[in-house]
Amino acid sequence: MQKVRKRNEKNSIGVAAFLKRDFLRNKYKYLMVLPVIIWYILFCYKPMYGVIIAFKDFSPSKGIMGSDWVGFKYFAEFFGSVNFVRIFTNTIKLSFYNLIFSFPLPVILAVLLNEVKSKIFKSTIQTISYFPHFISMVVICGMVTQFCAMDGMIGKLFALITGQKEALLQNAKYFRTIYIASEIWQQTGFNSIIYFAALCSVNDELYEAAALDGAGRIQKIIHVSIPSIAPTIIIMLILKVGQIMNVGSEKVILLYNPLTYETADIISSYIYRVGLQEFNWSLSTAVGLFNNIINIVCLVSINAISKKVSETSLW
Amino acid sequence: MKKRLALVLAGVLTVSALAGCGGKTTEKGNVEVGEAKYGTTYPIETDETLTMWANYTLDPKYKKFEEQPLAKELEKRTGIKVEYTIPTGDAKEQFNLMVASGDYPDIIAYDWYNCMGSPTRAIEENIIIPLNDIIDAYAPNVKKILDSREDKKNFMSDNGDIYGFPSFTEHPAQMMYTGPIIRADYLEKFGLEIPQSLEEWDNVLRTFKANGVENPLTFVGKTLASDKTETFVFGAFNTAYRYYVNDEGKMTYGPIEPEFKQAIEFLHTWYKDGILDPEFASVDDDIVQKKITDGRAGVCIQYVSRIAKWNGAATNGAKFEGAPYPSHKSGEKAEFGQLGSGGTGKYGAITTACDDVELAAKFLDYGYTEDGIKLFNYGIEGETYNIKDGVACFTDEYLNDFDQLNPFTSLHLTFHEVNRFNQRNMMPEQQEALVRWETNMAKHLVPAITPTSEESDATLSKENNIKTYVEEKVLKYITGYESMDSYDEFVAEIKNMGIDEVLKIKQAQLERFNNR
Repeated sequence: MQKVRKRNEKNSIGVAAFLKRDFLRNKYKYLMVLPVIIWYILFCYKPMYGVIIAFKDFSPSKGIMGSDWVGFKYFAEFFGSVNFVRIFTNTIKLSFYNLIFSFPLPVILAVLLNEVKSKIFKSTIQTISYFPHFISMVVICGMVTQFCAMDGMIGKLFALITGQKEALLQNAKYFRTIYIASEIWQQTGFNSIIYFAALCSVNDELYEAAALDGAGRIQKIIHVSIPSIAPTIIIMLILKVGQIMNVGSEKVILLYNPLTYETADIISSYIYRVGLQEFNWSLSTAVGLFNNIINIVCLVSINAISKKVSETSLW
Repeated sequence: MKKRLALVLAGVLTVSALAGCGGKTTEKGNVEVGEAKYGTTYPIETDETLTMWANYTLDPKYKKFEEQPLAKELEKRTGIKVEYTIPTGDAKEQFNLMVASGDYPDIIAYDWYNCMGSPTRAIEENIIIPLNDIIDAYAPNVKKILDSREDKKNFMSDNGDIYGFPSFTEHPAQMMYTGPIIRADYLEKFGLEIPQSLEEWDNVLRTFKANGVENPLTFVGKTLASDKTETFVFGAFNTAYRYYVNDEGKMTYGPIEPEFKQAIEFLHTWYKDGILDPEFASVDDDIVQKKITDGRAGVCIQYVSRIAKWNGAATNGAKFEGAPYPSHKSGEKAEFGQLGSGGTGKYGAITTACDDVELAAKFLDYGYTEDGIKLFNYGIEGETYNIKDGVACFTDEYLNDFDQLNPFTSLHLTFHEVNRFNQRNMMPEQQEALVRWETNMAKHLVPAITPTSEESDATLSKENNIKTYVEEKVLKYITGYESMDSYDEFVAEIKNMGIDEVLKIKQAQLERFNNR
């Protein structure tokens, strides 16, 4: 696509003419992508106008258009609420730590497995590490609860190391650790797929050339493997940062209890409670909108930084 | 990872978008009661299909509610075809999305107190219609029962609106179904009596502990303020972990009362001494059941039906009995206990989207006919029950396994007979438990008050903020993560969050209710 566009710019044909030619040339590809575009319009763009209920006092009987405007009332209510500072910092912290600890692992896994020569060993490890990703969240959280109970696997291990029995899920201090550790367990294998794919496309000649230059295994990883997948890593990082505020409420709601609200209550669990449990649609939309604005700001800034520093960026 | 949020938002927004397109135009209360099209006898002849959203449970044996024997039998007897939508997962969440979508079925069976504050609001928001005229015209059976009830005012709002077809119980005692359950075999083994006062309870639990019972007392603490546990221990201090009516007839919120502090201190001692399960804040219902049946725990707070179930399945010599709620003094009944409030629960409401109100009313009214009551309570004659000497008796197969009965019966939108309740809890231990669990709760119970929209707007978010805050703090005080020294600040903060205003509004609602 990019090459086509460049050539096209050189020839300085008008956009409409270009589109027409491109369409004729690739009509089946356009046809294939059509359902996706329709899906996006229906489920991502069309509902967007509903965001205005963040500025309205939404009542189902009046509908979105008919409800009364209230301006920034719900934003003010959210910023002024007793929980605002706590859930805001909890969200950032949970997400940030999660990024730091769980982001590098799939890269490391992929690079290490790439070095393994035995095909059977490789695919066994891959299957085992993908597996937790496909278990439903409810089951995963049930398992985590069991493991972290006093007489659970991890609970017993903890007692052995520290010498004291403790209900781990009841202590706010451990919530983030448990959350992130289970996140790593669940997602590392699956997230490494994209890096595997990137590593597969590295030209073998590069490794041969490095070997000729006398590079050992570690040096090959550092000077060939990692630089080759660096653009993929950066793009993934940008995407992750763009979702910094979007920590899913599902897992948090399944794992937290009032004793751990202190570290566990986050914006999305708050939206869930307010919007779906208290029927306050406008407030929860306002909070969601605020959340997404921060995400966009993060995404745009990290993209700009990356563009400057590494010349890799989303746009 | 961020899917949930996206889903929530997309969900709310998508369905709201739909609401924008197909806005309703029906004006409130503008339902005309025309001439009856259908006769007064069932089955009714009609080709129309009704749609119903019902917060019922779908038996795992069936794919659709329509396939369950109850639904099939109802269709056969009333002649009315109904398409059911049964929420899976969190019913409140799905109800909420349906409401926001503005796309309603003909009938919604739901606990309307759980909807934006009150059923009054559901009428004002144009979701459902007041049924007074409709019931007068088309639903003689429910009208007969309603008019005969002394507690009729429980089933309508302050201004006399009937907002749904209620779920009646024959006797108030049927609203009591949970309480403390104790390992009677332990009592025997250690030479103890069934405890009554808090002091006796303390002694029993400490003896359990001394004899190697790991967690003498366990319950699901995550939901401490739920009707299973909110009164246990608190009741001995003459308060409860909830809103209640105090001895002077005033609305009260337990946590701001001085007695509540004493109860928390007491629970903290139990927690510190290992009497109370150290994991009580993170255990769930399954773990509690496991702990009590395998003997790690000696006391839990659970449903009366479990007594029979556990006793039937016990292989380790375990024996389960109900024990009274701890009272202040020995020989006295406890002040607080679990008791459902009359007039709450599920109501079958007719929505503003219903085109054939008469048909919907007649369908719902069947549940209150003599045959309908039999069907809802006992299932199908000859299959699940037989009539002996004029009394409906479950067949042995179903009597011994009540879970099997679920797809045949429903205790919602009908008249729940005490005969069924008694057969359900026929085991002597269960009967005994129900007697032991009796308390003076009836006079403390908050009745079916109906807040107005303005009142809900003023109190809902305050109440919820307070609830979250209190839940967290109470557990912290019990576990000792936070010292009791800050308790006064805790109470001050609840006041700061507006509890006084909430109580004032609730008091007004209570007075309106009493004056109905």
